[in-house]
Amino acid sequence: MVNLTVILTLLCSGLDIGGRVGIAFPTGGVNRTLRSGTTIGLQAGYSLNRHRLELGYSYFTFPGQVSVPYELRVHDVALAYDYEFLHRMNWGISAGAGAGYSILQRSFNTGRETGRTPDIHLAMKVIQHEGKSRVSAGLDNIIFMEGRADRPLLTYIPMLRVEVGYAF
Amino acid sequence: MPFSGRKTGVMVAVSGLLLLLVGLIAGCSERVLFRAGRNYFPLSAGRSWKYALGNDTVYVEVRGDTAVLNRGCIQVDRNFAPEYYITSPNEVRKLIVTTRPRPGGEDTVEFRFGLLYWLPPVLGNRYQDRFDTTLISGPDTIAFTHLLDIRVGEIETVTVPAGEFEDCYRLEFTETIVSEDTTVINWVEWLAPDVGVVKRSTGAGDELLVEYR
Repeated sequence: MVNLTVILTLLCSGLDIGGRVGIAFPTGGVNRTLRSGTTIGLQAGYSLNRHRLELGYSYFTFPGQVSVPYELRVHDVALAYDYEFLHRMNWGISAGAGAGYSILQRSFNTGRETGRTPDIHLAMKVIQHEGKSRVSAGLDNIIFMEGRADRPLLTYIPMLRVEVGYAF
Repeated sequence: MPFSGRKTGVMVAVSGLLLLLVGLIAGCSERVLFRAGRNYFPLSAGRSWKYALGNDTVYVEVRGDTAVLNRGCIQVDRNFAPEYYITSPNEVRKLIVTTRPRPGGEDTVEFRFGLLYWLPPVLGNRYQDRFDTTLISGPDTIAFTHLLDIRVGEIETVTVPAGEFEDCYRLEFTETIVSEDTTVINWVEWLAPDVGVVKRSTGAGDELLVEYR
């Protein structure tokens, strides 16, 4: 019983969960018909010293450029690794990379298109951790890789994101 | 400790990410974002398309900006006959001119920019452009309706003499003109990303893109 408690304490000591909000900016031709969109999501992270592994979910909505019933929605699940290269008592700056998988849905009037694609995340964040709270804000660059593996078509969508979490 | 040290932790994380990445890339992927970012009806000055229609050749060339009905538009010559388009990222309108013969001349029934492409094309979208008016013919009045019904049917790969084009949208057009009698015309167009119309099937045959610049 004591062993189990110790193991659980050790496992949970670096664990945090929380939510995120942000704004994403379509680029590379996609912005001809779509405006910047909002994102909300959840994340769970495990920190060990300066290292952090995070599993996150984000939901994006991009409305059409003009008042037409056009919209792009993205559901993205990503696993990312961050390294806090500047580490202070209550705050730090981290850089990280991750891989994700997205479900994309495009709708226009009666039209619907759905697709799936892998993506890469490259992020830089400022982190504040004090007591049980963990707050971070930063830039997450998402690179969607559509098409075949030997000839991927890349679409880049940067995102400004704020995360709040509770650390166990 | 869950990880025996810093290096082990980093290695586990990076290895996991790489494995996931390789697995994901190897999997299937649609090209929704690619299509969302492409221009399916690019009309810029100097662009031209050459089509084969049976033994005939159709030359289409963008001449440049002009104005019709006090609106800025683009003149496109189709076998040296001018056509006029208004383009924006969200729609393409074409000047529709419909005339009707009368003793001693002809009446212009329609002279307007009608909706041709509602952009961006998205699979399954269906839209219409409709024009209604009343014609006076002696003591009689005749209702006139011009209806263009467009459906974005499929996403296909199209092979024409100019090459193979992926991610083409197949647009199915039904044009109905109701006046003294009813005329229905059907045709299909395939639009390729950053190229435009690569194939058009009408009652006269298939118009196939031979070259473009």
